[in-house]
Amino acid sequence: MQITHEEARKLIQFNADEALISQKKAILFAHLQDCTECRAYADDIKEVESVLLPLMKRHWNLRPVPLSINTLTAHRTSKIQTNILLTTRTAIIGMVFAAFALVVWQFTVSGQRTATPMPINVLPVPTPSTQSTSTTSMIQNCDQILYKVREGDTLQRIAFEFSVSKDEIMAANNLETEAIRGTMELIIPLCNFTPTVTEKPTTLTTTYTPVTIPLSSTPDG
Amino acid sequence: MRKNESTSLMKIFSPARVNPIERMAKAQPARLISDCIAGNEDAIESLVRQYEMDIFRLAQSIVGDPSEASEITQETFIAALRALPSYQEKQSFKAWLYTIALNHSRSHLRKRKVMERLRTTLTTIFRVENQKQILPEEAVIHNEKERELWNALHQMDEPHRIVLVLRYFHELSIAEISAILSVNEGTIHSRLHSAREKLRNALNHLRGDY
Repeated sequence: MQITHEEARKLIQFNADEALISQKKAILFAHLQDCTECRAYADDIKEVESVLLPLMKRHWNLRPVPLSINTLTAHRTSKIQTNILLTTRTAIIGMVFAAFALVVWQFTVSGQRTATPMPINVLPVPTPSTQSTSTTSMIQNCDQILYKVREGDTLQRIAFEFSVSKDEIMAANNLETEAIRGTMELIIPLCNFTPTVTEKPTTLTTTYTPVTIPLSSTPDG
Repeated sequence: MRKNESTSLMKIFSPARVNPIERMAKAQPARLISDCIAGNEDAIESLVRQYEMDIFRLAQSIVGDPSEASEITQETFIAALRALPSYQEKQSFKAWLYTIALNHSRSHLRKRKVMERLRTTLTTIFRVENQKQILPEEAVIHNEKERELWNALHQMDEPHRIVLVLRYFHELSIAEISAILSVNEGTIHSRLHSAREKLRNALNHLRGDY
């Protein structure tokens, strides 16, 4: 198989790279046997290699100072330590930020409270319990309870029992006179309620079902 | 005459190597690498001793300065030990290590270029006479042919010089060079052909043929 000089030069270069298959080698060999010009080129390339290789070996023939394994492993460990340190720092920064956010939030909330102050007359509604009797008595609040009149009850006695005045009961029930009957149900207004019937406090909480009407008005109203 | 020609031709077809046995890649047992990852100092030492000479010479062949090459060797092993868990066994360990060393060497070259520019600027500003330096390699150049070739090698751009160094000094195959530089084999062939052509022209220039 005939090849051109250009192709032969390419093959010479590939041959120098040790990348020539045997078939191509045979073709090149046959060409070089007859072509002086290409043989000269191949000789030049061979000369370049033969000069360059020992020259490089002579120039770069130093032996390195053996590396310290401790230094290498110390760097390796320091990387791990750096990671731990980084994690710790991140955690601390996170906590500081969270604390700062909490403080800011607290200030914001308290600021909102200051901006819209709660009305003084809006007070917590007492929870009926055994202690509620005394709690109720401490709070300036007006509740109303429904009292079923029993036989023999007088307005005076009921007023005394609930520590309210007769007039208040009469006003609350639109009564013209003090006369009450056994079938009546009276609304007892309980302002500044102080249970004087301490002998049966549980009866107050269990028997009476307070009809809780939250009042937005003043304690007096 | 015919016999002489055949001998010459046989020489052309014989590979250009000083010590072909050295070129044989040592098998890298996976066990050694896993021991290194686990932090076994004996395994690390064994790995380092096996490759430090190659890495040092690779660095020296690129940056020239032995002390800088030592620095690069150390940096290469530190980087390699850190990156060892990401090494995949399907690739050649030597090629992987060479890639790291090459990257570090290139990084040093870039820094040096910056320093050289700075020095040139300072020299210009203060009008310092730039004396011709006597390079230490002058001592190992035996004849004009070698000097011409050496100069031609150093005038080449980095991609061409590196492939020549890897091919002839480190005696690596085209496939290995391709893996180290992450460049396809066709490009490696092309760079080598071009680099050899430049060196051939340098020799011809000396002979007065060019």
